[in-house]
Amino acid sequence: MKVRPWYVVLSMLVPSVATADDCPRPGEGARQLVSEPYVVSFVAESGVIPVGEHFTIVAGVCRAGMPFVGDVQVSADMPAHGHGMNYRPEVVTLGPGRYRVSGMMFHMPGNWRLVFTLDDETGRHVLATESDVR
Amino acid sequence: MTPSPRRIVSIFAWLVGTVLAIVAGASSATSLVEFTESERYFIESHGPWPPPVVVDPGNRFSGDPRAVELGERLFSDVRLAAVEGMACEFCHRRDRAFTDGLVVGVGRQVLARNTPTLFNLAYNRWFGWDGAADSLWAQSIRPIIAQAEMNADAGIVRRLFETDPIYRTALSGMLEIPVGELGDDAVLALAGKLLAAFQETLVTPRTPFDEFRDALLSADMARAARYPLAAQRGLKLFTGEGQCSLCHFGPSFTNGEFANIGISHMIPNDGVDRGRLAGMRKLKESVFNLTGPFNDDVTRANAVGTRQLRFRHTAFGEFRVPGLRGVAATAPYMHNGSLATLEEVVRHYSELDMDRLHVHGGQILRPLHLSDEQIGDLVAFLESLGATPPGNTSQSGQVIEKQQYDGHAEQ
Ligand code: HEC
Ligand code: HEC
Repeated sequence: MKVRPWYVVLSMLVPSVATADDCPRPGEGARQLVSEPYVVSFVAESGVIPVGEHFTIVAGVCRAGMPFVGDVQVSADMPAHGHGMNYRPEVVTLGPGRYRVSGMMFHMPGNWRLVFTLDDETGRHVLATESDVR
Repeated sequence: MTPSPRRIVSIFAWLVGTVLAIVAGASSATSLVEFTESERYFIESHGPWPPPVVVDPGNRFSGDPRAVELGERLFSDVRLAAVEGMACEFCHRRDRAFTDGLVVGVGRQVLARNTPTLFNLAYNRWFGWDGAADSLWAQSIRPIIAQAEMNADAGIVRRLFETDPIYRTALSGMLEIPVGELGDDAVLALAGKLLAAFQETLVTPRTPFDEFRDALLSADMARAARYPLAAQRGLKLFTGEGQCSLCHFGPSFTNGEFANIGISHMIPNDGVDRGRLAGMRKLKESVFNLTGPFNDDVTRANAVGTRQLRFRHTAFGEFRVPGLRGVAATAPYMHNGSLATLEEVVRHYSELDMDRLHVHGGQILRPLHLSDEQIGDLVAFLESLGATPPGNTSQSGQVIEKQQYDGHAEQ
């Protein structure tokens, strides 16, 4: 097999956080939020995020390639409509850097912002992503 | 060479097909409104109907035919009330789509809220205009013991179950513990669960809208074109510019949550109906909520919404988004019955008073300033959510009488 040189270069550029074995990954189809040195990978437990129904998220949180140690909170809102969720999700630790977030509900279709707030000894770190839920 | 019979048949079929395609094309050009991709998404979300039957894991009698029968009997049983002649059916009348046609319910006292229909409750998450109950069975207990309504108590219910041979015999086959030995709250929970088993079976039939939706999705344009143009235009407003589908979402036309659309929360004479804000408190305080001992789901998975409810100040004056199936038959409208007809409802949205809207909803709702024709279109669409074809308004939109009242119950 012929290895193209720039592939090699690229893979060296990919931060070690994303590939480190100690960094928990929630599974197939997970989405990733990166704010060095923090990485959050998350996926809906059922595979899809429904509208108007409770759902659960499983997430892996890392700091510099190692399982995150600290407090994790999750919230969501619809920036265009100026409202959040009607529920306060519960974050349960499943193991080092692994979390289960239950009680989520997007009660309307449209653009939702999902926010992970990480607190550790260095302070507060906010990682957010927006997506069109329908 | 003469064509073979098979060839003639195929030419004929081709001709017929072409003519049909032209006719269909022409009719779809004249009697089908164009929908955007987003509008089509919402139209699709409003079905399929009827949805699959759901069983309530919190009610072990859910779906049990014996319970459905007992619940139906209980629903019209005046012995369940300590008020002469009153039963559930007194306010939730079968001949009026399980409403009373009054502005607000009237029991021993005049109540502060409009009596809602009991159709399609099996698909709800919250019950009552303020969502003070998290299950249909818990909601069904409230009127039995409310002083302003049936004013009964656990003793009355227990006596009825023990003395009436029909209840007694049936229940002895369904319970591990004799009714006489159940505690007060357990007896009430039992009555609530039987009533819920019956009410879960009340589902509105398929409607002209459902025929249209299914035809549109399967690209059967000829069938879709049978849906009146006015209703189609109304549907376009509902799912598009009007943004109605954001709250009135899904097969039942409700997202099951709460909003403030600027209907007055003042109760005549004195008092304020705080809506969802008070509803959340009542829910948390109730021994019958799903975190309590009477939830039959041992996993408590069905209690997630109650456990993780977020107390929001914006909930002040919010009310549950009502489902809209069969809405033409359930006038008057809104939590306080203040709008008499569907036209008044649409005019309310058309001329929204933005000062009345609080933070929430304000960014979705804005006055639509609809023309009279557009108002007519939206009304035609709303009427098409009932089984009776539009135009045949046998019962729809009637109000028995506008109730004048001078007292009201506690909210
Ligand atoms: C005096 C009139 C009256 C009687 C009697 C009555 N109800 Fe109601 N019902 C109402 C009113 C008014 C509401 C709205 C209450 C609220 O939102 O605070 C309501 C709401 C409900 C709801 C909630 C529906 C929804 O959309 O969430 C259910 C379920 C219900 N009633 C069932 C019953 C049952 C079962 C009985 C008999 C045990 C009964 N009702 C007796 C007037 C009545
Ligand atoms: C922000 C969410 C929201 C939007 C958007 C919305 N509604 Fe509503 N709708 C509600 C709520 C909440 C109520 C009940 C309000 C109350 O009783 O105070 C309601 C009540 C109604 C009712 C009365 C139903 C009944 O049984 O009393 C109708 C009909 C209705 N809406 C139609 C519409 C139409 C048509 C539109 C679009 C023009 C629309 N709604 C947009 C939330 C919404």
